[in-house]
Amino acid sequence: METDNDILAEYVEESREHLIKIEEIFEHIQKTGEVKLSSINELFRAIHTIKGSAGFLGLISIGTLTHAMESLLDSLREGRLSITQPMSDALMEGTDMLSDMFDDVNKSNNTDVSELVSVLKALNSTAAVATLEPAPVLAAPVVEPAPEPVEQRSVADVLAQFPELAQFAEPEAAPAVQAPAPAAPAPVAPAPVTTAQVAPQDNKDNDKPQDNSGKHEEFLRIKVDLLDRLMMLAGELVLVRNQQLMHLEQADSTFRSITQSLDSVTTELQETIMRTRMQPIGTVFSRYSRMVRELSRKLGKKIDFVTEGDEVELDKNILEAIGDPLTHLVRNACDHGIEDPDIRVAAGKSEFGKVTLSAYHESGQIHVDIKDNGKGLKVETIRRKCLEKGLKTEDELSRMSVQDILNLVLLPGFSTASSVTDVSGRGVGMDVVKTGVEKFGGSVSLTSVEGEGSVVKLRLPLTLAIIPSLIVQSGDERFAIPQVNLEELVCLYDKDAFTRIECAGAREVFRLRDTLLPMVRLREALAREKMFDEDALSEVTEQNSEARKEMAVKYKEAEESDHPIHYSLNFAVLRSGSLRFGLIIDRIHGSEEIVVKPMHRAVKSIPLYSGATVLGDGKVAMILDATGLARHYNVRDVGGGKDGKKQKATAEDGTELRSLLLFSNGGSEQFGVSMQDVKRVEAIETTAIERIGSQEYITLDGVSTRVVRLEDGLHVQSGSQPENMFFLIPQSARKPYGLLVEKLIDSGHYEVKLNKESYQAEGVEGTALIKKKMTVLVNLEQLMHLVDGMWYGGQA
Amino acid sequence: MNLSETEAMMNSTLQMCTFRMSNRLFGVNILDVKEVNENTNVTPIYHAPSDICGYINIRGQILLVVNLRETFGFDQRHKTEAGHGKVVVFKSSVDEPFGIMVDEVCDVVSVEHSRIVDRRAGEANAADSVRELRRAKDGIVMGVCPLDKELLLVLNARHILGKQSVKSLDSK
Repeated sequence: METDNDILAEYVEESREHLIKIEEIFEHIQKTGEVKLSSINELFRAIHTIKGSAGFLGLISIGTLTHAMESLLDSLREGRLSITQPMSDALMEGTDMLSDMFDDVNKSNNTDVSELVSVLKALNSTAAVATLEPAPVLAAPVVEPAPEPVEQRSVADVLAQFPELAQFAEPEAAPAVQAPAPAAPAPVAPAPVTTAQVAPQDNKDNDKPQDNSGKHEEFLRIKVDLLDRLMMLAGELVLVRNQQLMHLEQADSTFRSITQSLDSVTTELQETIMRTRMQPIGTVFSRYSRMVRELSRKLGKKIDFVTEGDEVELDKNILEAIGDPLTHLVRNACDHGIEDPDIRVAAGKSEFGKVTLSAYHESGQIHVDIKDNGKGLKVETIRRKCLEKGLKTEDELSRMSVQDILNLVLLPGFSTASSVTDVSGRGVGMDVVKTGVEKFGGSVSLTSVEGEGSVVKLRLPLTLAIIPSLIVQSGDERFAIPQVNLEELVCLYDKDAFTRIECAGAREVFRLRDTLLPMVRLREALAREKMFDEDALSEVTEQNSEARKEMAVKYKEAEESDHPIHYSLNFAVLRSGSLRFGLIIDRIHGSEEIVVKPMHRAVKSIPLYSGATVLGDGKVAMILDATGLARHYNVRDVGGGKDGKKQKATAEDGTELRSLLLFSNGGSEQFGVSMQDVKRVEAIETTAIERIGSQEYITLDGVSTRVVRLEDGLHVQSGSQPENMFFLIPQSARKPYGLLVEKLIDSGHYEVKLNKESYQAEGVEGTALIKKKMTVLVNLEQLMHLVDGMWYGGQA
Repeated sequence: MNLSETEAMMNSTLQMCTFRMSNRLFGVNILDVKEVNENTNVTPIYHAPSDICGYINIRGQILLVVNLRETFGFDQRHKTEAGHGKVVVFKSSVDEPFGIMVDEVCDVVSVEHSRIVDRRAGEANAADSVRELRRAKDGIVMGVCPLDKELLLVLNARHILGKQSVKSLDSK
């Protein structure tokens, strides 16, 4: 009995692999709209294999279904039939049914396959009736390259057969196919009826092994723990190598060259072993094409499903972990994002909705975007929902940007059954997605434009085991802070080092751009095993304020004595949940990719650490846990209460908290732009600006970038043109341009009460009082339009 | 260790890996020992129990190092004058990877199991130091074995980190 089960398990496993292959082929057919003979052959072989063992394992339903599918495929293969849409539908349905049956193979015999089988049989029996279509293509031998393509069936013709597939054809693919190479076998043998020859050839196809009929792809099943062991051993080898490298100096030349080869081989070995755990994300993506197909059928919607970046590789563990969140998001996009076809048409959109899954690398992380061109999210409805549920107060909401409000759907508790219809359905279980993704160090964000669709962005680490982190030092020890917790680094020099840290009650705080940041001294946190209470805090604060006083005295003395001493104080701004605090450290070493090792059982309960790691020089460093650290130090949001009250008073009159970059143009005016509109800021020398006609350009990273000055579009004072100025490069630039400004004043979150009356002009949002100064808020995009409407976004 | 195991072991010989801490001789079953390592560079773990030295890196593996002197409450000043000592690393079958800091590693000694005096057998046979240890660390010291010149304290590596924390054992 035991062995029977083993055989069955093996069969299921094998069949699943075949099913995956079948789905891939169908997907390819859908994507490219071509049906190659080799694909039909491959389908036939896969179905045949599944059928083969089904019989003797007593899996009658599977056997019957695969038999019917096989017969149909056989007819197709031998050219008795040409594939039609109903056929591919039936075959796909059969595949879906098979994969359902394999999910619970023991009960597969209860599945009723008779209906589909009869459909398949009916389709197959048309073979007898259908006249054997004489090979439609290439009937005439085309030996010499004809001046114009002879009798080529255009893709459009072919696609006419597959109305459903038309959508997949890229517009560029439409032009008729290239004339076949002169060397093509002239008299076409009873050409398979498939449309293979007419299909547009793109490069991708050439890469794919097409006729690997006899060949088997060479895969080996390897146990994961064996791989893990290999990886660990490779790690050990690297360290041995490192030790050897250290002794290289005293070595002779032979030894040196041996060590060098050892070095390169080791590196390569480690990389290769790391790669074994990486798998293309396409394996996960391919699952969803079936899901979208089923959903669109069920919902009566027309949905195109497109995947991009299938080849992007991710660690196996992460691939497994993102399956569920992705399912959720794709389902959401189909169900609630994409509208019904008639609504879409009424809204002036194509009746086909589009759901795109794309994966790409960016700044050391993998990004996965789930995009739909459906109805998008209604900000108003989200606000209302939040108020109803008491998740946020009116004041809080009025202070939030649109972006922030959108992200509220990620809050736990936002999603309930009733919100399915209320808030355009989105947000159902979005917190599940969020927690799922955050569990392995990823993050989720959401953007949406009402009426145009939504994009959910997932940011995932490359591997679970390796994280980017900042290495800092306190006392003699180095510690790693995971980059995800890190917001910014602040260095205070000389005087600032002892004047800028202030005391608020028993705590030390720092004013970071008008917010009060509670400070945590890592040294003290490590030294005191007991959780900090008020007494401990005031003791620390007192000690340090004494120390600061001493520093001040010494500094002053030194200054007078002409041998100034230099002080510096470093702290990292960390975030844990909604809590922000500054962690004072002795030294910052820089960032390093670290391999996370869990804490030993005996010390696991210490809240300060989330793990340990081996640094480049072989020494062990502890990985700090921001949440645990904050709890240990008894950090509370010091600024929160006070600020909250202040904001409450003003919130009712339309004040908004906005993140702005403040600058001046040389004159006395103060200007501001939204931080999210600015991609980056470059410090430039004005001598590098070149003039062409009336326009100015500067070359940045090899790209000629148009220079726009504020006075080009607005009636403002023009500056004195110092040699060093700043160049703001906007986020949404369709063409390279940037705004030249003279001085940067500050950046941060400001309460903005927009006044649209006092200064009206194109390119200006309005004015607001910021830092007690009237500030003109510039709308970058509008300004560019104004300065050169034709030039900027000319085609738009 | 249950009774039948004990009986089975009575007639066998044990190979003991012996080492010195604060001038006392200790031994552990050599089958539990993976390797002996130079005490490299210990990274302290702040807030850990006082008998935990910290982490060391042995060929990419992070290893917890225990300071048994602290566990037993030996005077730290009695540290053997042998530089900064060595680490006896135990096999992963014993516990999660860990080692103990010792002053000096000595020979491998064969002892008949019957010669190990279960410390429960009688107070009178036990040396003062043993009695003292017993109170401090229940379970770690399996027994005492008189060698030619001195007493060997036989430790059970599996009990060093214990199931509970060291301190809760103390209070028992």
